Amino acid sequence: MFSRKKENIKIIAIALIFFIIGILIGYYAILQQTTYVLPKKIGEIKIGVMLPLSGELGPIGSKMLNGAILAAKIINDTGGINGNYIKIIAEDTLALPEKAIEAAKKLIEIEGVKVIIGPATSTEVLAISKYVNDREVVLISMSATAAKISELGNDYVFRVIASDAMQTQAIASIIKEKGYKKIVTFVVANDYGIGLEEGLKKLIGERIALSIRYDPAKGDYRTELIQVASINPDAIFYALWVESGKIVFKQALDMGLEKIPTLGGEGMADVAFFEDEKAAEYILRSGLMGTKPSSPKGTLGYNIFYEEYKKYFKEEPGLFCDYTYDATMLAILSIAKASAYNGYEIKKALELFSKYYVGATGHKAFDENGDIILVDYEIWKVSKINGKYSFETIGSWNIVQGLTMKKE
Amino acid sequence: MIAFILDTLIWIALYSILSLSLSIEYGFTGIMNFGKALFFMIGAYVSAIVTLNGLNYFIGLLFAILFSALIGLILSISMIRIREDYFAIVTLALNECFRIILKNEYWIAGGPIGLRNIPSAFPLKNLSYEIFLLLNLLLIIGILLFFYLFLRIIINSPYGRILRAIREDELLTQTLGKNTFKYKTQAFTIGSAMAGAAGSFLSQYIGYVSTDLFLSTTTFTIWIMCIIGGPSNINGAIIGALFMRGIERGTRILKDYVSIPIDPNNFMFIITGILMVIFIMYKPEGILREKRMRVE
Amino acid sequence: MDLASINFLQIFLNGLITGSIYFLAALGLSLTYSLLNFPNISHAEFLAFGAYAAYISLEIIENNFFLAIMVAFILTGLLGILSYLIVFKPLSKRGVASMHLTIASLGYGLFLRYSIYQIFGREALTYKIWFEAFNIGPIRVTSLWILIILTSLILVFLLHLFLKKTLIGKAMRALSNNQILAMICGIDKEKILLLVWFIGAGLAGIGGVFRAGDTRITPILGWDLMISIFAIIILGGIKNPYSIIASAYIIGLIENFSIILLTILNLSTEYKAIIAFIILIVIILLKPYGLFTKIEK
Repeated sequence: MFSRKKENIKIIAIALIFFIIGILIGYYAILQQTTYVLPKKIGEIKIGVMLPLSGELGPIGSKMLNGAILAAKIINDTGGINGNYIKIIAEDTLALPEKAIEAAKKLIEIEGVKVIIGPATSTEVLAISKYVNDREVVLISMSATAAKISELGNDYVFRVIASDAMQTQAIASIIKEKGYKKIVTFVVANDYGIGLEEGLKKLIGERIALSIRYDPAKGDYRTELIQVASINPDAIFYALWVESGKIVFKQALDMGLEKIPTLGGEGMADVAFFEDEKAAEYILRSGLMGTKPSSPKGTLGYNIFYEEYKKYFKEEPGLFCDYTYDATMLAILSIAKASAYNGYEIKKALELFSKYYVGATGHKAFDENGDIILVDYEIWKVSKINGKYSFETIGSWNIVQGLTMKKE
Repeated sequence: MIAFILDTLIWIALYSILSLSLSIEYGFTGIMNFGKALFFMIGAYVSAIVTLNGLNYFIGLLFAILFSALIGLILSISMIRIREDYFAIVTLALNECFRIILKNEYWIAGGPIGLRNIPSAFPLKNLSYEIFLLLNLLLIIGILLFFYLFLRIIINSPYGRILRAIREDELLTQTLGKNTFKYKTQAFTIGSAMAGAAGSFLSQYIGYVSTDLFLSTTTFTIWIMCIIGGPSNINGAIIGALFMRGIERGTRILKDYVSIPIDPNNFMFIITGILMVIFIMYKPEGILREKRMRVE
Repeated sequence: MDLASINFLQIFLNGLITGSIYFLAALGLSLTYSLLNFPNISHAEFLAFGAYAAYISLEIIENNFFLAIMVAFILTGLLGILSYLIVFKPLSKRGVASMHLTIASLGYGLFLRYSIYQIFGREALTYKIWFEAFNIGPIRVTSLWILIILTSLILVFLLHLFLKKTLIGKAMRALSNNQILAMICGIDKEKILLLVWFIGAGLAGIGGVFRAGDTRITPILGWDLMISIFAIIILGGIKNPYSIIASAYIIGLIENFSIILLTILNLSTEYKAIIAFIILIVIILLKPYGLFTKIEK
């Protein structure tokens, strides 16, 4: 009996030691935050950034971070804000909502940030929206497009990218212009896809004969495609993620669906789809066309950003780097204007400043829901030039003029 | 710093409850349940739905426990007579099936999007973060203590002796006149109720649920905790939970601190997978062995 | 969706394809289940492993899909043997209960899966081979599908010859039927076990390649199919390889035709996995020893 008790005590002691060591290491690790070292001075202004730095969207996210770092660097190199330097504190969310919640808590409770740039996906934004509002922390997302975010109303959540509510109007106008009476919507089952589908339903619901929401984790979409084939629609509207999207297209080609014209949102104008030969062929043969926010390239604001980015990082900016840059710059300017480093003042300053800011991606005037007002979309179509697949612009859409297509 | 410690303790307590819930089923009664994540999930969803409809958290907790227990009861009554390996397969498959249903039926609980902004048991808005965490810690320890003491009494009683007998040799126990099916069903129901309670806490602590949080890898995590800590010892559950949390944090820290070229998300399962095999081979009783019964 | 526009022949073809992949995946599992008396949950990872092995083969020697299939078969077969020698044999020698073997297989399977995640990453890969799609009458086929069906037919035939005509095959059947009697007759259990693990895992590897060619290569390739595979094994009963083949095709066809029902009921097509599960439950409750086996004492 005695030896067993001693043995138990020994084991519990070892476990406790292990635990304490674990806590010490953990504490130390938290101190070694993934921070980006910019000149550290006494007055420090923290800005939190939430992005997927690893996992599926890791490569894109880590590049997006550069946009934020660039904005901070530009300001820091010119004396900061009254001698206080911007410190970017980045947290990895893997684009998962539960990780986003954890990251937000770390940034807000432990680091004490009052402004967060990001997260990148609508699902994450919606998962933490109540929390940041409760804590009065300003959130500026660079790439969350779901219309649902606008429904949150006048709160601490802002976006420098247009809501899909706009994009669906552009898409609906194409559908009407082309005279498609019977369409199928084939979307990925998350906020992005479902958001677009519901947006379309509101505008042209009577034309939608079948709506399919698929699971990106499943690898086989033949049964869904059979359903589409049996309806024989005039057109199919797709809102897919690249990985699963490639499979959908591959199988669609296998099933002979390429005769049906296809449409997509800006997520579909991604060269990554061309990596799979069959997917590329399907896209080409079905004449995939769609909408996306007009490229800022060629504007003065963008060129300034582009030159600075290349100078500092020595490479081309990646997807959404420009939006991240704008979000961060707006945040910095708002903090500078605010009378105190707290969420309420920063929010007020942000709403004011947005009217006068023209950044790498254009005007950022916010409406009362924190969405940008001025937006225009280009209409793109897939083509094959000299054996290479690419996108060409065939028209444009904006809220004032509606749809304008180039002459064929 | 304090926030970090409090959060860690909360997770360890939560894991302990899950580990205990498997302990009563596997460690003491010998039931192989590969669907623990299922009841964890049911508890989380039920609690979320209740609180999202405006009711107090503790009502949500109660409903979660009752609902999980109910599903556990129905499941065990219908299935408990089948061979144990078939039972394991069925529980595994059932976990997947429920996930598929919850994921596809939007009207139940948001489909793949899940449920967001689940109200927490304590209003964060007016509290300091540390106090908020402390309250949560007290809550989870309260739940843990309740189940821990409950199990302690059961195990050290004639009832517990019957459970162990079933684990050792079910046929023999039957010939001794005991209705083993009744006991197994009860043990399973208790285990399910406990997992449900854990799920309820999780949903209000994170504020978000979706089917992706309850994959079979979650079930596996519960199993490894249980096995390593010692399935037939209720303190073993806590050791197992400590260990698991240590590994989770440890693999992440290893990535930041010592640059090992292995993604921590993968590393954790690679290590625990190997450990599982090693423990089963050399030390299936776990770290803390079964204690002699204390029958007063 | 009106019934007239449903292409039943096409669905039947899909069912055959699904069935072929299922049989390749399930056979190995049923053999090891009957000989070692536990369900090897890590078997799902053999499918994924085979798919990746084929991928590597195609990276090195492009365009030779037959070679890739061979490579997948051999490498996965070797993995099977290794798994047996390193994990399951030592455990069973220690006399642990089948319960423990199952638990160990759960852990081992996760180890394999996450090792694959580590080596190849989370992104889904595809084979860089163009399988031409064309019409044969009212149905649409791709060259991959023809390959799958032909390969499966050939393998079934070879298997039949092996089991009925060769000495080892007969020994395997004997062992599967009644271990003790077989061993008394001098059959070397160890040798047969190694062979079973090799062939079983190898076939699963081929199944994985086909599944990956049809969809995509990912570490959870096998896991996606597990419910259906278990349904097949329980439906067919563990002892009889022929009944496994039959069950695989039955379940494959049922799953594919069930989408008609699901569409009429306006349910998601993902529910076909649940259909397999319902079949599994019904069989377990009604006939715990499988549809094709006679109850033995």
